[in-house]
Amino acid sequence: MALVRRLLSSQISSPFFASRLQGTAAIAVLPEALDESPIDPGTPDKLYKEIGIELKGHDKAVLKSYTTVMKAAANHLEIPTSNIVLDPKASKHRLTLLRSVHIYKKHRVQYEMRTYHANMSLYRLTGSTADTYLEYIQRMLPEGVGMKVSKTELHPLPDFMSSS
Amino acid sequence: MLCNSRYRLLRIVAKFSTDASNTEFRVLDLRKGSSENANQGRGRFQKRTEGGPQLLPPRETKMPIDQDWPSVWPGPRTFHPASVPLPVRQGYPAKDLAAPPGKYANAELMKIPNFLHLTPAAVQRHCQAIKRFCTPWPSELTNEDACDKYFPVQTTTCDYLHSSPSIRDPLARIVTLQVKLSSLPLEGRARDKFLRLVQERYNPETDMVTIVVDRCPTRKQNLHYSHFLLTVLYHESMKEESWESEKSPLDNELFEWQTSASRAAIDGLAVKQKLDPDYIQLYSEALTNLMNKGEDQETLADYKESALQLLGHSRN
Repeated sequence: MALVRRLLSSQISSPFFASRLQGTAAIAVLPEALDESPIDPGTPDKLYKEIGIELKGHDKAVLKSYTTVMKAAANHLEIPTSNIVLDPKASKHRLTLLRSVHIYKKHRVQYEMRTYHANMSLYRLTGSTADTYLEYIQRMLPEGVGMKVSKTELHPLPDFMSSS
Repeated sequence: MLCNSRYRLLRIVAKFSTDASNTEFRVLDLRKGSSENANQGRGRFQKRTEGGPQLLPPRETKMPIDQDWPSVWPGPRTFHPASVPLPVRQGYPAKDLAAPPGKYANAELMKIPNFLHLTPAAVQRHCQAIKRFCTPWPSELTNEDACDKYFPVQTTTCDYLHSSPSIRDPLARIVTLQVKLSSLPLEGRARDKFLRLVQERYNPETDMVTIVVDRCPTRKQNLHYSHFLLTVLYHESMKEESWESEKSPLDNELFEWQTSASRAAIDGLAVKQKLDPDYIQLYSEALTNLMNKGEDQETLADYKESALQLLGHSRN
């Protein structure tokens, strides 16, 4: 074990072997490798003025827990957010059917689907922050919840307009 | 028989997996079931003993109170009573004044998605790990006015995430382009022509031009097309066609005092009799209001008052 450790440490010091490391040692050198990677100056990051997140779900408790997680993650990543708006009333879609198969028209049964809505907005995100945050919360999306993300991206005026 | 053999296997596993240091020695009793059968003399069929066969004790009983919970429950998973050391209860009680059913063999707790993998400590740990992929917002653009000045064009697109057989949503292709009219380099005639071209897409209250593009099948095409539309609108409004000189005062969107017949009449009157320039100014404003805002009690009263003042017939 000690021999392996010594071998790994000798390999980390050599830049040639750094890329061929595997397992835990490779994970350990990853942050430095990311920091030193050259950034392409030709592709500027996107700028999102606002990202609106709309959630729909059949269970209010699940929506409430999930919005708490979303808010906590945004706070940890230092993203400015609006308040969470969780509508306490559900929008209901009702179906009225015959209780019997095809006769007894007086006797009906009513089914309803309840959908709760929650809304939150994020402000002033760069493209990489937005991708990171959205991928995290979308991977953690619970079962039976739908999400709509509306992104408002900022662009400069075209060159021919700004020069005149 | 299959069940019996599985329980026996579990019992063997239990013997080898329990930690000898903090629990008592668990006896491996392979023949227990068959010996009971022989005593009862009932053949293969045996009445189940209370509580079922003796299995591994639930994991929660051995958990230390200061354990690292995110590593116990690292990912999304259906609720498991033996792994969660919480006295959770859920569901309707069988009788009145009874407690709701406990967590063992409780389907209600397994139906609802749980957030046991997203405790505050776990979220903080995840965010610490992904924070290095985030970049700060440029400090020059924290002001709203600076955003509008350097990045006046906004495009809005929507992504949809839901459980359906397809990951595509037809609404995701729609692109909304918004631009503030005052940020475009348009003046006078060009601005007028631009407004005529965009028609109802301009909102005078917010000074925003909104173009919704859903013509093409993909979002990228729609995005390119929206920028193309803005370019074309700009160049068309900068162009001055020969027929544009034929525009008469009747074609104006708004009444203009300087070029109106009313001004000519007042000028003619000013030659014959002396008129106060302040009253002319008031009269022109009242008339412009009347023509542009429409006739109502206020504008009509203003117009009457200013006209009487101008002609020297004011009551006061």
